[in-house]
Amino acid sequence: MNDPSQHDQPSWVQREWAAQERARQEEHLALDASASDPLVRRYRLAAHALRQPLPDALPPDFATQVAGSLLHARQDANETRLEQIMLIGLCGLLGIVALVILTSYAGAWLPAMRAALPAADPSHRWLLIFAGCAGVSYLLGRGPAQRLGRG
Amino acid sequence: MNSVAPSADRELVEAVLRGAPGAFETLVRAHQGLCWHIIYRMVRHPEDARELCQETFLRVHQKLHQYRYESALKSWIGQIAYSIALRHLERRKISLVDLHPELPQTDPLERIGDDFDLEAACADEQTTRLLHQAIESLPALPRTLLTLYHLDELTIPEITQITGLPSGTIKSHLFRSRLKLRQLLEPAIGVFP
Repeated sequence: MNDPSQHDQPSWVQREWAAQERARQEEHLALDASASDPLVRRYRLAAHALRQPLPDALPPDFATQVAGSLLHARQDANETRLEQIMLIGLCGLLGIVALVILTSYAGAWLPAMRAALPAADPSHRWLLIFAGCAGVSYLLGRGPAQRLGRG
Repeated sequence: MNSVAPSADRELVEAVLRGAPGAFETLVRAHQGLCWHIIYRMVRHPEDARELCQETFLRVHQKLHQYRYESALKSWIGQIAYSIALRHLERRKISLVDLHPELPQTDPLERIGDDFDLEAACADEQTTRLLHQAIESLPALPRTLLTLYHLDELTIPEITQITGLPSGTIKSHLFRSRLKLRQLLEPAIGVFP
């Protein structure tokens, strides 16, 4: 069934719909029911029940709670942003320090590292590079919890 | 841009967007009733309904800058509440409507007695309890539509804005569920064959 208020609906549908709407209107206006026809009066009983408050309600301070939770969420977001900025700054600083140290002492370290490597064989060098890349890919593929041994 | 929202809506929204103290709380207080009616009627569980109402207003705050005053603020908020409740029901695979609606294909052909006392029926606890049970047992969508139409006194176009349903579909649900309620009551209040 489509729109019951349309004129192409069966007469009984139009009659029932008209009674339902009249009942709703009369209940809204709190009119005396004794003058209404019996069908309208029956629908007024349903209309009356439908206008009753719902059995449960929100707490009286709901609006205050919601506004408060929004404030806390905003404060948490600000703190997280600050932490992220500080973390980035710290990593940047460490990177700079590492670069300075590397450039200052590379002249002393590199020959010693070359001597400690298995051989000057080029295939070993490529093997080491491949192993290093595979290791980094593996670590990046794992989540932070797993990397810390919690996963 | 066509603006149909009342000027009070505009003032309140602008106050919230500029962060005026207490503005958002005022907005919540003004619309929490409608939000509660929609969500509670849809999901029925009070605790879930309270959480979903909170989620609704947090979403309202998040999206308020997108509100274009093309509908009343209550319709816009109602739409958000409805979609959140709908998603909740979908996740739980709860049907919105009666999958096998029973509707007489012909005139019920009752002879309605003229001596029905409305006042007495409203005061009768058993009848009232029966009626409220019947309303609660309706599927989520018609139950919600009845509340929006009768308790919140929204118009059919306003309900269309909230639910996205065509007006004919809304009227069809209202018609069927009200007919069902009326027929359910007949044994209790008496009908003469």
